[in-house]
Amino acid sequence: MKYLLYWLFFLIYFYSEGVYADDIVIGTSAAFRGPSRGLGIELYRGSMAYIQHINQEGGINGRKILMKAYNDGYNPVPAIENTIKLVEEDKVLLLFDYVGTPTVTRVLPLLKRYRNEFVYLFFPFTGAQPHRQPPYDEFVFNLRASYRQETEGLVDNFVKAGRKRIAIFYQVDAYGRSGWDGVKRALAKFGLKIVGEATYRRGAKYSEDFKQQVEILRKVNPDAIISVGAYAACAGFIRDARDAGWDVPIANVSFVGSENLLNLLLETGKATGRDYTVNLINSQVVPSYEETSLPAVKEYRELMDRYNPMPPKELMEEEYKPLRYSFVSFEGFLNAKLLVEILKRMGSKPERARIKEIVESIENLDIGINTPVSFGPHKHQGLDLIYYTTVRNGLFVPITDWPGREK
Amino acid sequence: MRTSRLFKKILAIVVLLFGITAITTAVFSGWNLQKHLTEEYKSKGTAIANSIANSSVEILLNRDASTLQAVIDQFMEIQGVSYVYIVNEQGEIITHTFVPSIPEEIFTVKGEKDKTTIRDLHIKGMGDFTHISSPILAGVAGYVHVGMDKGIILAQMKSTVVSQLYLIAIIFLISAIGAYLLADKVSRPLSKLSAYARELAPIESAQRGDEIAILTASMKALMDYLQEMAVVANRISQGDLSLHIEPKSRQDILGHAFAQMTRYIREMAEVANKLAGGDLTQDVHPRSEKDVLGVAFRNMITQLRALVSQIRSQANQIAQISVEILTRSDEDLKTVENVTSSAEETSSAMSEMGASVEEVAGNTQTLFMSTEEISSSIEQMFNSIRQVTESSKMLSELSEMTAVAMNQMVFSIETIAKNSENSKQFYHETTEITLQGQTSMQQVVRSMDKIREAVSSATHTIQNLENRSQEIGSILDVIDNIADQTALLALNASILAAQAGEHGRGFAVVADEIKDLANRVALSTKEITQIIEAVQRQSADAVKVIQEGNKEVDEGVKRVNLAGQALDRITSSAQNSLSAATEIVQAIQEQKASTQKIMESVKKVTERITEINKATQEQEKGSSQILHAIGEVRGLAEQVKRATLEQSKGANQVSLAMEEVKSLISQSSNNAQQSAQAAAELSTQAETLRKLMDRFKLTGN
Repeated sequence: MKYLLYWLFFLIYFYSEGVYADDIVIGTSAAFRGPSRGLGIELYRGSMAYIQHINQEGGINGRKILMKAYNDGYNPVPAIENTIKLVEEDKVLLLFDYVGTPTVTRVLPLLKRYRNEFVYLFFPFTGAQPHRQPPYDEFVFNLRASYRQETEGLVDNFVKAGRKRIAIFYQVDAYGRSGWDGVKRALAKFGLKIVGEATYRRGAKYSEDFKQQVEILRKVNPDAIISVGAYAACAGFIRDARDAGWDVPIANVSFVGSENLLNLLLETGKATGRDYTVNLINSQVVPSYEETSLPAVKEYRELMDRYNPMPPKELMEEEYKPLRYSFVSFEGFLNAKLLVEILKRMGSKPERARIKEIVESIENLDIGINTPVSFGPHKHQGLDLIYYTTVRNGLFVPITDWPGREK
Repeated sequence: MRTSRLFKKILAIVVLLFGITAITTAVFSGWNLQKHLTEEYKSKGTAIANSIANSSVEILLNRDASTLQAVIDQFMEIQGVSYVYIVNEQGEIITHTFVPSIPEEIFTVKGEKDKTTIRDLHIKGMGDFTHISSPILAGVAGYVHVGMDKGIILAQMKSTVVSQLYLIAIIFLISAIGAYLLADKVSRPLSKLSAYARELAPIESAQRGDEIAILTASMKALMDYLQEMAVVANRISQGDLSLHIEPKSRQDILGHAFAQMTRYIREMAEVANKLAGGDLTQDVHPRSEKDVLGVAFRNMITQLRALVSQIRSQANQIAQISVEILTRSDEDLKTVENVTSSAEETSSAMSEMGASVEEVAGNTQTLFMSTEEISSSIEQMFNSIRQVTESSKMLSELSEMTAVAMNQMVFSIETIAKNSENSKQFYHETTEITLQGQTSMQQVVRSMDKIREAVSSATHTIQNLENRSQEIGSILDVIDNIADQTALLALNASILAAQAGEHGRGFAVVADEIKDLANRVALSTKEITQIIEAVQRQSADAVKVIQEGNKEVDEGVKRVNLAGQALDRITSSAQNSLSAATEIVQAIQEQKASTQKIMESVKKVTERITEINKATQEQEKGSSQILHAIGEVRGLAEQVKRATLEQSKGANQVSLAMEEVKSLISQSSNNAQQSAQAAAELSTQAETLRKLMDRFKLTGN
C-alpha cells in the first residue's frame, strides 16, 4: 500500500513535469508564407532533418528536442510578437533559425530587454551587421559569415576582373541597406563609389515588373550589379534585365535562396527559350552540398532523403514544392548540428544562464565541413568562409574564372 | 400620375435650399478637414523628423546603416509618411526608403542647421509632399528628411466631401419623397377640383399658376358665367329671343340648354306666324311626348286642315248645285219658248183650250210660288254661308290669340325643368367637392403646424448646442490659463536650471518639454476655440435659416387660410345658385299655369268649330229643300205638258185665251229669267266661298 502511494506520487510528478520537463524546447520565427517562404521552409527542413535524427537516436541526455515554429512572413512586427510569445508563453530555452535582416534587427532590442532572463538567438539566417556589433552582438550567436564579408568578396573579385563600375539593386530595408553598406565600404577601399542604385519594396513578387529598375541601372552603364534581395524580386530583376538584352554580370548574396532563384529562372527559360542563368553569380556562406567528400554533406544528403521533414501544416497555407537539397537547408542542417553540440555540452539540466559561457568556450569544433568552428567572448560568429558559385547546365558550381571586362 | 404644380413649386424651393446647404457644408467641412489634416501632417512629420534626428545620433556615429534603415522603416508604417531619408554631414544620403530610386528633386533640398524646416515639394511621378527637414546635432551629424503625402489629405478630403454629399443627398431624397406625398395628398383633390372647374369655365392660359390659383380663377370664371347665364335667362323670360347664345365649350350644359331653348321657341313662334298667314302646310315634330307645345301645335294644325278641307268640299258641292240649277232654268226658258210657238201654231184650237189654259194659269201660279220658295231657300243658304265665314274669321282670330299666348310661354318647356334639375345636381356636387377641399385645407394647416413644431424643437436643440459650446469655451479658458501658468512655470524652471549649470541640464530639457507641451496645449485650445466659434456661427446661421423657414410656413398657413375662405365663398355662392335654381323651378310651375290658359283658348276654338259644323248641317238642309223645290218644278212642267196635249183638241178655245196666255208666258219667262239670275248669283256666291277656302293651303302643292 505504501509503495503503491509512492508509485502514484511518482507518476503524478512525472506527468506534471510531463512532456515539457522532458523536452528541450527551442523556438523559431521565420517566413513560412509569402514570397520569401522558401527561405524559412528550407532552413527549417535542414535543421529538422538533423534534429529528427537526434531525437530518433534517443535525444540529448535522454531528452528530445522540440522546435516551436511561428510564421512572421518576413515582417518585423509579427517577428517581435512571435518572439514575445516564444519567451513568455512557450518558455523556450533559446531562439533559433530566425530568418531575415528586417525581422532580426527589430527583435534585437527585445533580447536586450530579456537580458536578465538570458534569452539568446542562435544562428539567424542573415548576414546583417546590427547583431554582429554592439550593443546587440552579445545576445546573438552566428554561424555564417556577414554580408559585409560577402559583398567585400564580390567587390574584390569584380574589381580584380576589371569591373570597377559597380551598381546595386537592393531591397529597401535593413537587409538591403546592410548589403548596400557592405558594397559601399568595399568600394571605398579602392577609392570607388557605387555608380548607381535601384530599389524594390520587401514582399515584391516574381510576377511583378522590374523593368523600371533595369532602366535606371542600365542608364549608368555599370560593369557589374550586386543584388541584395530575396529570390522572387532578384529573379524578376534578372529576368527583366536579360529580356531587355542586357547580359551584365549580376551577383546575389547568400540570403537570396539560390535554388529558389534558379528554379524560377529555369522555369521562365523553359517557357521563353532564353537562358537567364548567364553571368549569374551567387555568393554562399556554406560549402556546396555537391561536395560529397565532406562528411557533413554526406550526412546531410542521407538525412534529408531519410526524413524529408516539413514544417507543421498550420504554418503553411500555400502550395510549396520542397527542394531536395539546397544551400539554405544545408545551412539549417549545419546550424542544427552545432546547436546539438552546444546542447550536449549543457548537460542533463540545460539552463539559459549558462548558455553564453558554454558557447563562448567552444574552440575548433569539427562540424564536418573541414573548417573548425570557434567562439569566444568577443567572437560570436562561427565561420568566415565565402563560396562563390555560378550556374552551369542548370546547376550551381564553384566559379573558376570571374567574367572579365569585355569592352 | 400628373405632377402637381403646387408640389413642383415646393420641390423647387426644397431642392434649392438643400442644394445650397449640402454644397456649402460639404465644401466647408472638406476645407476644414484639409486644413486640419495639413496641420496634423506637418506636426506629425515634424515630430517624426525630430524623433529620428534625436534618437539616431548614436546609430549614426556607429555607422550602422542597417539599424538606421530599420529605424526609418518603422516610421514608414505611420499613415501619411511617404518617404524618410537621412543625409550625413557630407551631404550623402546614407539611408532612404525610395523605390525604385532616389528622385532628382530630393538632391535640391537642403536642411537648416538651427531649426526644423517645412516646405512643399513636388516630385515628378510621385506627387506632392510636405517635406520636413530636421538637423541632427545642429547639422553636424547630418539631417533627417521626412515626406508627408499630400495626396492622402486630398483623397481624405474628397471622400469626406463625397460621403457627406451622399448623406445629405439621401436625407434630401427622403424629405423630397415626404414632401411629395404630403403635397400630393393636398393637391390631388385641389387639382381634381380645379380641373373640374376649368372644364366648366375655361380660363385664360395666362392665369395659370398652381392649383389654388387655377381654382380661384376657375371659380371666378364660373361665377361670371353663371351671371351671364342668369342675364340670358332673364331676357328669355322677357320674351326676347333675339339674343344669340354661343356655348363656351362642350361641357357648357347650361349654354347648350339655353341655346336649344331659344331655338325651339323661335321655331314655334315661326310656325304660329305662318299659321296666322294661313299656311297649314308645315309639319310640327314634337321633341318628345312630353313636348306639350309641339303636340298642341301638331294637333291644332291637323284639326285646322280637316276643317278647311271639309268646308272646301261643301263649297264645291254648292257650286255644282248652283250650276245645275242654272242649267235647269235655261231648259225651263226653252220649254216656255216652245210652248209659246205651239200656242201660236195652234191659235185655232185656242178656244177649245180655254178651260185648259185656266188650268195652266193655275199651275203657273203654283210654279211662281215654288220659284219664290227656291229663292227663300237660297237666301237661307246665303245666311248659313255668311255664318260659316264669320266662324272662320273667329277661328283665325283665335289662332292669332293662341300664337300670342304661345309667345308668352317661354318658360313652359320641359327642357328647362330638366336643365334646372341638372344645375341643381351640379351645385350639390360643387358643394361636396368644396367641402372635400376644405377638409384637405384643414389637413394642410395641421401639417404646417407640425412642421412649425419640428422647426421650433430644432431651434431649441441648436440653441442648446450653442450653450454647450459656450460652456466648452469657458472650460477652454481655464485650460488656456493653466497652459499659460505652466509655460510661466517652465520658464522659471529653465532659469533655475540655467543657474544650476551642468547639473540642471537634464532639468532644462524637462522644462523645455513642459513649455513645449504648454505651448501645444495653448495652440490646441486656440484651435478648439476657433472650431467652437465656427460651430456657434453655424448654429446661429442655422437658427436664422430655420426662422426664415418658419416664416415661409406662416405664409403657407396664411395662403391656405385664404384658399379656405375662397372655398367658403364658393360654397355660399353654390348655395345661392341652388336657391336661384329653385326659383327657376318655381317660375316653370307658373308657366304651366299659362299653358293651362292656352288650353282653354284651344277649347274655345273647338267650340267654334262645332258651331261651324252646325251651320254646315243647316246648309245641307237648305240644299235638300232646293232639290225638293226643283223636283216640284219638274212635276209641274209635266202637268203643263199634259194640259197642253188636251188643249190641242180644243184649238178654238185656245185662240181666245191666246192673248192671256201670251202675257202669262211672258210673265213666266220673266220669272224664269229671275230664277236664272238667282241661280247665277248663287253660283257666284259659291265661287266666292270656294276662293275663300282656297286661301288655306292643305298640302305643299
